[in-house]
Amino acid sequence: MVRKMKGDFRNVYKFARNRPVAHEAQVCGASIELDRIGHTFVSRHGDSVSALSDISFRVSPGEFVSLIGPSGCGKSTLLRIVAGLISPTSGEVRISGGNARRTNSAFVFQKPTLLPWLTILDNCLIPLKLSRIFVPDQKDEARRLLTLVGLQGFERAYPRELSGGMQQRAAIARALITKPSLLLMDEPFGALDALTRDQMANELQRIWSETAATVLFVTHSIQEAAYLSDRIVVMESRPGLVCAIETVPFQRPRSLTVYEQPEFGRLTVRLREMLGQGQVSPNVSVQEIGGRP
Amino acid sequence: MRQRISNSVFSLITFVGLIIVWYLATRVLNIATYILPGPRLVLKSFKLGFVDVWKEGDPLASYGYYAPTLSTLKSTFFGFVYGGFVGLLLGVLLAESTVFKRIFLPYASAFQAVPKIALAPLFIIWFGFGDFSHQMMAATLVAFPLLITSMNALHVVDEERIELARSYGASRWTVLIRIKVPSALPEIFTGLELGVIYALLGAIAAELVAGSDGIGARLMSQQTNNDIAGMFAMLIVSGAVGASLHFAMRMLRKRVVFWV
Repeated sequence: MVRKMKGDFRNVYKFARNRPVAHEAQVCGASIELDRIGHTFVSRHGDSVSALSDISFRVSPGEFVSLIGPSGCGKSTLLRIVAGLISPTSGEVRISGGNARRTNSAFVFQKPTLLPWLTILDNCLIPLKLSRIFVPDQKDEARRLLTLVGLQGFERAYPRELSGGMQQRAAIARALITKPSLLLMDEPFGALDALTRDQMANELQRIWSETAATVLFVTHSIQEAAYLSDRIVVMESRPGLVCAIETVPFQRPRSLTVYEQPEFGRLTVRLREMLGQGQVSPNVSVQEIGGRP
Repeated sequence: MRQRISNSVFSLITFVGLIIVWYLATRVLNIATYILPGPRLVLKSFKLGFVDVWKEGDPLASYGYYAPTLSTLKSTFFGFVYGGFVGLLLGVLLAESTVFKRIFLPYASAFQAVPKIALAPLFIIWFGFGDFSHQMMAATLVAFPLLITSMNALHVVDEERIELARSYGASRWTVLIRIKVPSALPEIFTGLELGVIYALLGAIAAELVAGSDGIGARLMSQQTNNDIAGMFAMLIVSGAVGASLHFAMRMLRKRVVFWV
């Protein structure tokens, strides 16, 4: 199935309504093909600003790909284009996969974006209500996913009763409820402290290995990208374009000891240099680009 | 806890003190009762309006205070419901439709600047001397603040919540009902809290101008009859009604918008 823009995206779900997710067989990852994606927007002063230009790469089914780059390089815009939330001004996004007939993607934001008036369990079920494919027995699936992200026993709690890290786990469980073949994550751990971040990265690896979904992961942290990804797409800013694609060689499942391997160090240094050479705007600090030292 | 008790004790002391000052002022300064009646006269008036009517077996007698209070409460309630409904509906429409907003917002803002109480004489021509014109006055006062607060609240809903819904292909209606309106509820309740006070204000103002019934009408007849103590009693009643309505609204808010 090929989808171009938001309009098609709706049709996907019209179709999906007739085929409840609950009864679907094993999900496999979607593949993404970005074909010369460009995006320009008009600024407040009336100038047109090029946010992305000529972005082309492919992501294979089940692959974990990170997007890194300086602030304002258009990573998040690119992710929103893949999600169908924004239409690119040029180029095409082709997503095929999952069950071959339709694509089922889920978005994880930097903030947990849980709805404060719903319990954690209901928050996990909200995607089904938003896309009108609610099936009663999904409650058990939601409980299973909450257990998967380590939130068993918090089903009846409200979001404000949970810590930031726990809220983000709930957001991940929510994203998994539709059995997505494509997970789009926009700096999902950006708002967490360093310790929770490491832990969440580790958890995400485990969860991902159990779902087989394709992941497109936007991050500011070089180490997070190197730890989690199969490949890393390095972007530079103004206009946002791809300056390199790095393959990460480490075996899975990876443990935190990966950090100590010399090859890991070389990889992160290489990435940091690449980001340094890119047209980084002077007001972006090294800390912001590189994450933790 | 200790702070709380001493607070309420403090309030009680100042209240009693105020009554004493009031009493002494009327006594010592020898202020005429048709200008400032003493607390005893006002209390007597309360007894007449609230206790004696029971003793005489007809609590809703037209000279008692129950009848005008209930009448004002009724106008306030219906005015609040009508005005609340219209205000919310228009707020949602203006927030959702740019065309609608561009057409109507300038007029709404201009109308907001009109002191709406000045419309009371016109409402009497349109809706007559009865309760309905009181209700309409109350509704007019409720609708505008609610329109503005609900429209603004719907405009500032967290963009990521909307993106979340849209990423699942939610329809506009679904986004409105499941995301935007619940997100805006805390601010909408701020509008409702204001609105309930405005409704009372509108009802009493309309009654003052053209009341056959209600607190406002009673105040006018008391003025004519030189019943100044009765006026004080009625003013205290209206204050108590306003405070109770506001309190009830806050309780409702705590229950409905429990997550804030």
